[in-house]
Amino acid sequence: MSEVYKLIHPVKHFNDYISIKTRLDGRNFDEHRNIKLNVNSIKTADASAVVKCGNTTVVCGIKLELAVPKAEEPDLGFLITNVELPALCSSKYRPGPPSDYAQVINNIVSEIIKNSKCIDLKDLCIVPDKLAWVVYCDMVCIDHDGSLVDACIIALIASFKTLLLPSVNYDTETEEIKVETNERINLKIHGLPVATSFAVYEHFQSHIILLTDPTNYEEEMCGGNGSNLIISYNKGLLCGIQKLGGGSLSTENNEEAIRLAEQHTIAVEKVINACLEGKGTNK
Amino acid sequence: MPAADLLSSQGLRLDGRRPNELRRIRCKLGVFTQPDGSAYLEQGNTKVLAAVYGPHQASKSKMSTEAVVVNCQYSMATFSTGERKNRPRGDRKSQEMSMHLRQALTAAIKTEMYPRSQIDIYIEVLQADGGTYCASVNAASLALIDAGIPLRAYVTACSASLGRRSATHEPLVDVSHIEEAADGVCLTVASLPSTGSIALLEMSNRLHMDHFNIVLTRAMQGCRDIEVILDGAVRQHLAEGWTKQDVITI
Repeated sequence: MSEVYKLIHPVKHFNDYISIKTRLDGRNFDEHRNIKLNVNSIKTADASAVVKCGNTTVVCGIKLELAVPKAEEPDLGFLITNVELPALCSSKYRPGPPSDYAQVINNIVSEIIKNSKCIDLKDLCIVPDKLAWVVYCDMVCIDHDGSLVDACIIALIASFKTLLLPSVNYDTETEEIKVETNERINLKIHGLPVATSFAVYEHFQSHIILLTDPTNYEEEMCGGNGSNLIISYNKGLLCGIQKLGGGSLSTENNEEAIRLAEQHTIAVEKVINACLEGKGTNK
Repeated sequence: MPAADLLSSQGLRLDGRRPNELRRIRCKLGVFTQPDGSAYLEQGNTKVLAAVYGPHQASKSKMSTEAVVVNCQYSMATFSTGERKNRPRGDRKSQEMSMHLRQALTAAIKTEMYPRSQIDIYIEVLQADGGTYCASVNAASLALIDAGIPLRAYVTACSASLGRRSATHEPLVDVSHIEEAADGVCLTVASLPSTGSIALLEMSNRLHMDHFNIVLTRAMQGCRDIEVILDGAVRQHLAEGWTKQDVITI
């Protein structure tokens, strides 16, 4: 019955829930979904993580390659992130070249990682001007149910934390490269960036409601362009705010969102640390 | 030609299996909420996801008035192989695999039931260790069942090779990546085991006609064994209840 009502009166159906201060899955406005995290699931990747935020599932795989550093930046390695939204993650996406939304998400994720300065590209350089690591991070979303950026960042950071760089011996005279896959060192990560997504809903043209960790349905009801507000923190420092569509925010809403993002960051840090200690657990 | 090093003197293969031993298969139906049907299947170290959308309205160009249009897309994640794969889909191998998948699955689906409609089947390979085609067909079969699309029979796929130990030739079932790379013959069969019919048959390398029958029989037997495993998984999934979803709609 509620499925039919949802189809015929979508806005009224959504408003009915918001009016009694609850959401379709029974959460409060500022509650986020359960996070399940597992690392080292893909053996062919140098590091991997699978994260489930509610129903949103993202698999992250990291592959390492060697390359010559750029001439204008001889002591920096390369970090290349890529988010893929294949057609199987949602009926909204058709097979073919990456959709506009996929490119936007790609950009947002790479901006967050770059601005958070969690990875120092100097750490990826082996021999300045001669040899550096290229870290390819590929995130594949296999089930899209909202808050995509949150899940991507969690998967990415969990993979980074388990990534072990092999030690490389480079003979400058013979230009011979020897990679010791048995001796590995951890990649140094500065802080732990966490992103929090919100959907901004304009309830009856005046009241602005902030929904933390929106599902796909909630994102669509609030404009249809994905999450409207994404706030990223790295160890107490704000490293990104993006606002895309949805209702307009007042200063109080902004402050509330920042406060909620801070709380969420602490919770996610706990999950990631618990997972890495036990190598696979859920919140 | 059967490579001598595929089978050791004790009768064990390169990964320690016996010649007639399948790799361990673990599968789960209904793993995702967005697609109409989904399945996750592991065959040894090969991990494959399958998602089915449909039947839904077909695009005007592809529409057929007699039968449903089956559209398959095979995609390998960039981190799925030893070397990073630059193009997940769209390259020649993926397109060929997609076509082979479509041929095998069209044979199983009761296509006459949904004219003017389209069924989309998406395969994502997360980890590739040989036998990705077979794992894809098996996963797609489970996903189709989870989506509730009527099938004539289960469609399963299995590969077989030929090993030589002293003077005897022994067929090896379920070829892994190291055996594929070791220059042995690899015969892949997709069949509907309950009817005994073959939907697709593919062979790489050379094989003498005298040995063809035993390798084919072994592959067909492998298909039947896999069908038993998949059937068990489907029954267990139904016994547990519907697709597990974290969202509860009130």
